[in-house]
Amino acid sequence: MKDGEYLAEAIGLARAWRRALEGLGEPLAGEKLSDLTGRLALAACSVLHGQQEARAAGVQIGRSLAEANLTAPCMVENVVTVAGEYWLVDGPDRCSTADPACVAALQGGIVGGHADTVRRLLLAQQEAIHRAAFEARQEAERTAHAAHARFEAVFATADVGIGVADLNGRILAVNQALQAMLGYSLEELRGRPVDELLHPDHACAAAAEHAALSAGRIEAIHTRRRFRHRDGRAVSASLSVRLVRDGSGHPLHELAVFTDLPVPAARASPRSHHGG
Amino acid sequence: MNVDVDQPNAARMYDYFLGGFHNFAADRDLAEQTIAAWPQVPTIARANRAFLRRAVTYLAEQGVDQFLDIGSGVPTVGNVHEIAQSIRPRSRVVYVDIEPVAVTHSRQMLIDNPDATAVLADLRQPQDILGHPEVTELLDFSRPVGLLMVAVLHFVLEDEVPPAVIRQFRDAFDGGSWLVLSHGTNDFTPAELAEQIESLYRRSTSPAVGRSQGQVRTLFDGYGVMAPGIVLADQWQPGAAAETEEPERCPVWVGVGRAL
Repeated sequence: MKDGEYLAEAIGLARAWRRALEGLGEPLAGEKLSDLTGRLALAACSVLHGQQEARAAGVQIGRSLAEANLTAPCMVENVVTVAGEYWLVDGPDRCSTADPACVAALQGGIVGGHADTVRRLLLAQQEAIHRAAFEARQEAERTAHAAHARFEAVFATADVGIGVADLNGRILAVNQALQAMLGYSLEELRGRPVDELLHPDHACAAAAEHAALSAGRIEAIHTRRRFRHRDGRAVSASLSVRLVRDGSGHPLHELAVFTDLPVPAARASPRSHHGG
Repeated sequence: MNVDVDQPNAARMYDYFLGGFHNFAADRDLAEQTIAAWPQVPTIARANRAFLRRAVTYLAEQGVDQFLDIGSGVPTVGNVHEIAQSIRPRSRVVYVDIEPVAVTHSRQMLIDNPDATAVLADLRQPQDILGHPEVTELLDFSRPVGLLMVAVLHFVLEDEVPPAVIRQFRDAFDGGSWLVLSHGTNDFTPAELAEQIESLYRRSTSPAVGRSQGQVRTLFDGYGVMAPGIVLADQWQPGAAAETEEPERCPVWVGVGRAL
């Protein structure tokens, strides 16, 4: 075939391919759809003399389409159908210069090259996104862990009393300062209803406020309450209780901060304060 | 920071519309429902992507070699750094997204590229982005910066936020800047369909809102808008080969401006 003929043939095919694909959208790689179809049509038309070459060129064309993110089955379907129509189907636009066996080899190559590349991309991209999700989750856990560790440090060393209860008012955690105020260890307090620790004088008002808080009607309680120490005496402290919510705003638990704690007996003594 | 791959995400749905495989079942499911309601969505995504390519090429040709791409999403072929670095090899690009999986993935892809990186941040807090150590290390604000806000501001529902955010960026770029912007619109979409699309996106982690041409124009306050102005994606410097018979089929307002 003379060069001029093959160029004319390529231009016709490029136009037919562009018409078939442009409704489906632009390729994403660095070239425009018209450049891509021009390049591929030239590749197709230059090899329609030997079946081996035609098949190899088809594989390249299928791969180029997939690598331009034209991965959808309808893309390759259109390309192959249009190529068949261009060379094999009688009509005004038919280009009859090609050997049908070569056209068939080219079509087979396009389909195989496209499927192979799509499969490769699919597996690689799925692996990449799953790995990214895994690492992002690990990173989120590290961040959460660091935040938890910071909270734990504050919790353990704070001079104020801190207590965490579930939404039913059962104690989940109590820091050292609060344990000292009440005279109980953490093990003794964990799982107990907060109400049991309140001085009976205050139990009723506290129950009403607590109901309003856990129902979300109020955001926080700021009050002064009397509690019952393990040895039976009353101790009073100022406290604020808040709901702790998760990322989407659902209440998770209640956090109580006790300030103005009674000074523990041991530390109240000037002698022990100065180390005896 | 929330990593939940069971929740559909707009960036990964966009990747699916573009023919990519960087997405999870929940993303594909909602993307398919969106396509069922509005079959040209993949074409719109591609038109938007093609605009990004033309705009970055244009900026690179104007001498811009620093880019801040906000709402960059899932990295895919034809990324900003690939386009910019093919024209100006040492172009520097920082991608910013709010979605941790997209950012982690971008960072993995860019590990061997010293001139590009990705950071996790919320565009509604420009000071976090402008003060981010990786941003200040890579970008020199005393030289022109291309600020890319492509298909991202329609995920900011409050009307007053986008202009304020753009102003903060413009003020921070002492050496001049360019704004490349695209924004979905309902100007050509029947109200019923627009409501259906918005309600589908409300089920994702990123609800969206369309804005009018007038609203998009006000986002360019303080910028000289380059020809051909605020137009539909297919109409922005389409080049000789492209035919733009029905630009309304891709209802995305776009523009490129230079800070005054």
